Order: sequence, then C-alpha cells, then structure tokens
Amino acid sequence: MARYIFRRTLQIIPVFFIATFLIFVVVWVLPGDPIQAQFGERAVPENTRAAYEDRYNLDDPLPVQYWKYITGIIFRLDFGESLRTQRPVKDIFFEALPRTLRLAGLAVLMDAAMGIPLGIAAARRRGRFFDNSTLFSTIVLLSIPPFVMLGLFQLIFSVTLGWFPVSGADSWTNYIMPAFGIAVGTMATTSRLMRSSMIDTFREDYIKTARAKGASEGRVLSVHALRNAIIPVITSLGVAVGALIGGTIVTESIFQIPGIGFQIARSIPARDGFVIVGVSTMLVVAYLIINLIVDVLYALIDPRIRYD
Amino acid sequence: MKAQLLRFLVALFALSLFVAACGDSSDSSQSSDDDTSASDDGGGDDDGSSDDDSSDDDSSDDDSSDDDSSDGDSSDDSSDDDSSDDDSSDDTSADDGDGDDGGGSDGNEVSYGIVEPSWIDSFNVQDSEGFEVARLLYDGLTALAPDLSAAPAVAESWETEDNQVWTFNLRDDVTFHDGTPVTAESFIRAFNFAANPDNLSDVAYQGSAIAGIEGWAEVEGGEATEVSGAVAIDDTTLEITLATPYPLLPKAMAHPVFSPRPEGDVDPDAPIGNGPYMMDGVWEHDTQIRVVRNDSYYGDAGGPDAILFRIFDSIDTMYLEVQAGGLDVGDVPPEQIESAASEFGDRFIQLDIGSYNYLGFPTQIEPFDNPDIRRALSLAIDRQGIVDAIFAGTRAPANGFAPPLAPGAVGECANTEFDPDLAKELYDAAGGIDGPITVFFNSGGGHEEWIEAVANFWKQNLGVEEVEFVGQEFSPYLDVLQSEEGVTGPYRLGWLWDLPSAENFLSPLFLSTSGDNFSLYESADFDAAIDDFRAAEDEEAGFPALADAQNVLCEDMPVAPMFFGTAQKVFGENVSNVNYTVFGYTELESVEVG
Repeated sequence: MARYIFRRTLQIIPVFFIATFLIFVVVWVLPGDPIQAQFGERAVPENTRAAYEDRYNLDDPLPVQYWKYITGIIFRLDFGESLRTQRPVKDIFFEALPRTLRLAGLAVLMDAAMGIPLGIAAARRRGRFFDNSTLFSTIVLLSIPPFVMLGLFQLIFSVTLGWFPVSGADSWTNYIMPAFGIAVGTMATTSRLMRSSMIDTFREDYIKTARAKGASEGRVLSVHALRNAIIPVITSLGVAVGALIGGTIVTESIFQIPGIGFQIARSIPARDGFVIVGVSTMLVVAYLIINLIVDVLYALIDPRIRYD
Repeated sequence: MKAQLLRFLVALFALSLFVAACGDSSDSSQSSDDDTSASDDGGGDDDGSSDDDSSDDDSSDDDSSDDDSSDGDSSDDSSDDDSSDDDSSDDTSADDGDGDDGGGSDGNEVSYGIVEPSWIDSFNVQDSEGFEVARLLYDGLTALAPDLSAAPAVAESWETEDNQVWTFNLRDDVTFHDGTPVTAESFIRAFNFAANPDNLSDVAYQGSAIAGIEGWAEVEGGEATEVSGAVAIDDTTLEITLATPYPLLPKAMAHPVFSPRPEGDVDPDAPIGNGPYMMDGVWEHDTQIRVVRNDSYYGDAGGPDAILFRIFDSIDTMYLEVQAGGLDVGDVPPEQIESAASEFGDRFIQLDIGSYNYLGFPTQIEPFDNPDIRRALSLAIDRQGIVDAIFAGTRAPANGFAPPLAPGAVGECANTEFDPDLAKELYDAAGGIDGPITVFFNSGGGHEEWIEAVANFWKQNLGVEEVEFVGQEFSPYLDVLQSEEGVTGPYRLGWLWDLPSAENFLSPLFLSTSGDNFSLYESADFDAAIDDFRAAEDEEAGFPALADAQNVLCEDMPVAPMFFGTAQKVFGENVSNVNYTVFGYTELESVEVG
C-alpha cells in the first residue's frame, strides 16, 4: 500500500510541472506589455518600469521567470502577487473560491432538482407529447445566450418585481438567480441523460423481475430503476461542478460575484499575468490533490487497484 | 456503476477537507474557519470526479444584455426600495462583525457605485474610482475649489517668490484618523514613501514629471531615499523646492499622492488618512468599501453619516441596481444614455470632464510630416456630425487642444472645423497621399464606429482611395505605439488630465522631451511657449503663453483633436443635492439623504 501511495504521489510531479509551465507560457506570450497595461494611455515612466521589472522579474527570459515563480511556490508557497494591486494571489484565490463553490454547488443542485424529475417523467412518457416538448423546450433554453437570459432575469425579478437583489455575493439570496441561470443551461444535458439512462434501466431484467413479483409501479420506479439509473447522472453533475469552477465568467460578472472565473476574466485584459497563472495553478494543485486523495482512498477500499 | 458513486462521494469528502483546510478569508477579517467551511460544504456539494476545468467559451462580453430597459421603468415604487435597502444593510452588518452604527438601514447612508479601484491608499491612487474614495479619506496641502483654483486644505496659506521655492503654512489642528497629528513631517514621509521604487507607486511620476519636486526623481531612480526638495522648517511649515519654476504647484498638490502619511505600516485595504471620512473596517475587494464620517475632522465633515462604495464589474449591473433602488448613485452604460435621460429625468446628470480623444499623426514620416496634409485630414472631418450620429450628442466635438473647462484653454482652432473645400485644396496642393492610409486604434473600446466615419470623410472629401484599419487589443496596441518603428499612420489615443489646467493637455503630449509624445512632434516654438508659461508669475499670467502654445499646435496639427469627454450619472429618489466636480467625481460629502 505504501508503495502504491508513493508511486501515485510521484506521478503528480510531472503533471504539476507540465501543467503549470503550459499555463505560464500561454499567459506570458500573450501580446501586450504587462507593465504598460497598468498605465493605460500614459507612457510608463522609466524609473517605474525598472522598479516593476526588478520586483516581478519581468526582464528575465521566460524559462528563468518560470523557474523563479515555480520555486517560489514550492519553497515558500508563494503563488505570486497581482501586478495591478500587489495583492497576494493566494488571498485573491481563497476569497474567490468559496463564492464560486457556492454558486456552482447551488447551480448543480438546481440542475438536479429540475433535470432529474423532468428526465424521469420524459422516460415514462417516451415518444409522447410530454417527452418531445421537454426536449424542445430545454433546447430552446439552452440556446439563449446566458447574458441575455441573465439580464432579463435581473430586469424581471430584481428591478420590476424586487424579489431578489440585483447583484452581490454576501447573502445566499444573491446566488439564486445566477445559479438558476446556469442550471437552466445545464439542465438540458441532465434531463436527457436521466431520460436515456432511465429508459435503458427499464429494459433490465431486474425491473421485469420486480414487476413480475408484483411490485407497485412507484416502487419499481423509485427503488429499482431510479437508484441504478441515477448514477451516471450524478457523475455528470460532479463533472459539471468541476467545469463550473472556472467557467462561470459571464454569470459572475453580471451578478458581481467575484469568484474564480471573475478574477481570471478581469486579469486577462489587464495583463495581470500573475493572477491568471497563480489562480490557475492553485486550481491545478487543488485538482491534483483531490485526485490523489481519491485514488488513495479508492485503493484502500478496492484492493485490486493497488496491484495493477 | 457503484464504483462511480463511491468515487464521487470520496471526491466530495476530499473536496470538503480541502475547503476546510483552506479556510475562508472572503469576508472582511478572519471569521472563524469552521463556520465558513460548513457553509461551503453545502455549496461544494456535488463536486465530483475531479475533472479538469472546462475551457469555457462564454467569454463573450456581457454588454448589450438588457437593451430593453423600458421594461424596467416604473420599477421604483417605494416598497421595492425599502426591501432591497434592508437586504443590503443586513448583509453589511452581518459581514463585518464589528458592529457599525446600528443594524438596520439608518437612512443616512449613501450607496455609490464604482468599479473596483486598483488602490485607495494615497501613495498609489491612480484610477477615477480610487480618487472617489481617496478624496474622502485624505486631505492634502490643497484642494481644488469649484472654480478649479487651489483652495486651502491642510495648508492654510502658501507663498512663493519665484514659483520655485514654496512655503506652505500648515494648520496645527489636523489629525490622522488614528488620532496622531498631521505635521510637515507627515508630508515628507508621504513624499519619500511614494517616490521609493520599492513601493512601486504608479503615480510617483506626479512628483517628478508633473510637480517637478527637487530630488524626487533621484529617489524614484533608487539613488536617494529622501526627497531633498521637501524640508520641514517646523511642525507647521513645509518648504518645497522645485527643479524648475512651476506656477501650478498648489493645484498639483491636490493630487492624493501628496497626501500626508501616518507613521508606521499602513494596511492598503484600510488606509489611515486625515480626510472628512474614515474607513469602516477593511476594503472588501470586489464587494464594497464603507467609510464613516470622521467626527474629529478639522473642517466641516459634511452630510451623510456613512458612504458605502459598492463595487461593480459591469456598468450594466450598476445601472440596474440604481433602477432597482439598491444603489443610490451609479453610472450609465454608454448604450443606455438616451433611455436613462428620459427614464431618470432630472435625476440624470451629464457633465463635461477633462478628457479627450484625438487622432495622432506620426509627424516624422511621410506623408504625415507635411503640416498641410495633417491640416487637410483634420479639416475634412465633420466632428459634430459624428457626435450627433454616433454618440447621440453625449460628447462634445473638440474645437482645440484642451477642453473649454480647463483654465487656459483657448479653443476655436480653425483647423478643427469642418471645411471640406479648404481641406481638399490643401490636400491637393500638398500632393495628396499615395496608397492607402492605415489607421491604428484599440479595438473593443467603442472606437470602431467613429474611426470608420472619419475614414469615410477622408474618402469623400479628400479623395483618399483606401483606408486600412489596424485594430488591436489595448495592451498590444500600446506596445506598437511605443515600439521603435511606431505606427505608420494616424492613431487614436486619449488623455485624462492630472490637474485642471490646459497646460496638462499640452506639455505631456507635445513637449519634444515627453514620453507621452507619441506623434514625435518637435517644435521649438511650442517648447518655448511652455517654458514661458512655467516662468510666468502665476497661472493667470501664464495664460498668454499657453494660448501661444495652443496656436502653434493649431498651425501644426500634430494630432487632430476629436472629442471632449462627458460622464453620465443617475441617482435614486431618496438622495438629492448630487453634485459633481469637474473631474467627474461626485461630491458625496454634500449629498442629502431622504
């Protein structure tokens, strides 16, 4: 077991270096001088440019910059600081992460709460009007650009009806509209997946057995079919949370939820490379660590894995 | 199948461990980790199989989402107002648990929408939103009066013999928000701090390039640690020596970078100033900055008990908040200016600000080295037509090299008028331009339309055959402008003044020695006129010299001035007496609530 953990931990190292190097290079080869970007239309005073280059190693060749950056992470847990505000990226990340997790989590919950029942209902009425109209309407919703729909939500539910605050990230009520907006988009996938998984399950022998034994339709559905059919849906929802962590840029901006995507999106035009690299690197580290823990626990539970 | 579920649950567990370990520093000061991680479990719920992040493609811009704002009219009935106000104030008190005055909305708080500033600590305040906050937190030696002259602030009076050695007489009753006194030494500390390259102030140039304080540039360059030109004669007398005479020094001193600095380290998120308002808690990044009235202020601290700066990334969202009643004062997105004017009526304000847009010419390369070509290109543009057709009258056509509100501006430059016949005459006499004209601009800044219109005027009125456009994102665009090769055709840029004087629109952009002179314009006459101004007895005595400088420019047309800027604000029904400074900053201290 110890050998497995050791081997698995070693695997992290090349992944970490390759991933961070790619991010670093992609961000810093973007055209546009990061120092000039801090000064807008004004020329950068020479003294200030020198001070910036000195502090952020911007005059070093890229591999040297990367080396300095990565050793800072490894030896000092220093993920760099923002060029624009000199704030440590670590602070920015840990302020942003809970908000993004809240938003992503709530969105996925809503997605599940709407998509799963719809999928089940559609599966039971396969090929009939309800099934087709569900398909149609979810696809219509999916095809509305998010910023149009979200802006409309704000106008209707905040400005006109006053049910929810327009924007902000302090209270959980702030997250309802944006999460709903995201869920409406992802619900199409969930309900389709639920529907097809349910239909497949209905064909299984154990469903026939259950029916043959005289189980009620409700029991067949909830106990026998649903519990098996829902597993791929849950896996897909889990993947969706991962995707939403970096991918809710538009929503976070419209609703002023300063999460991960928000920070990255703002840093790109500002050429605030250390924020982009740092936040992305911390996400990489988080994914790597989570994967490691999962795999180790998994190996603990299922002995076959460690002997592979 | 079961295995997948198991994997998912384990991942969830691992994630919650991760979040718990990270803690949550999101809300103001360290709240207890346990609370927050518990609530995060709810949020992080279904995170599963640790997938890589998706590359997302909805990075399309968030503008234009809510064009149909007419729906939003009739929104603000009072019940809406109340409920949303309550919400926001509840949030506030819940967040920064250091019990500010009362939980509910005490009515005497103004909420004001801004974009996230880069800095609010005086030594590095650089963007207009930072200025809005800093002007309440800090008082410098001087302040700008409504008539754009320098008014006393911490300095009661000042005198100079030669515009080079200035003596500022300070009040003795000014204290920082922490109670320590503000003395001449506090200003010297601020100067040394801002100029120190270790502190990386983006506005350090104010001390060297604008004010020209002796020894400042040496500190910036790392050759010294103390600005030699600033000397404390005693606690209430500060002597500032300049490298060259500068009649505008009292105005320049109103910039926040020259504000006094207390002893010791200052948290940039909770700066300690000496102004009429002081920080309440810390700056919650991307969320809010709350300031409360400073009761020990030496002057009249003014109206509202508290001012809440709410931070927005999207102006559209800010505007919606004002419509919904959740925000008292906010900006207007450009595409909604017309509808805002009708919807808000007298609660919509448009004001002229000290900024402008111009098309510069690379004056060192053919054919733009010929002043007649430059004049012709400028005369062929119908600026008023563009303003009416594209900007719906929300900008002013530029009639000179400095906006009329800048003291010393002369305007009325004949070469900025629309005269297609004269333009054609000059153009033909100068031999015209062979081949296409290439126009450089930054894309995504809303410039495409008017630049295209300019190109059409050139085609129509001058017979220019082809105009090519090079639109680049702002940052790479600036790289091109500053590169050795520079640009090969007209380029768009803008300027926002540092201090209210026409001189600030002239020296930085056109002095042959200035780093911002992208047209590489060189004129001995112009440089001499600026020297004359700087040698003048006071600002007003220098106006003729400034007029000379502008006349030289009008003859030479190194750039074609295009538009002067305006700003638009809207405010809600429960505030009144909303006034603005010429910088476009709201005089929040005089806003009345209720």
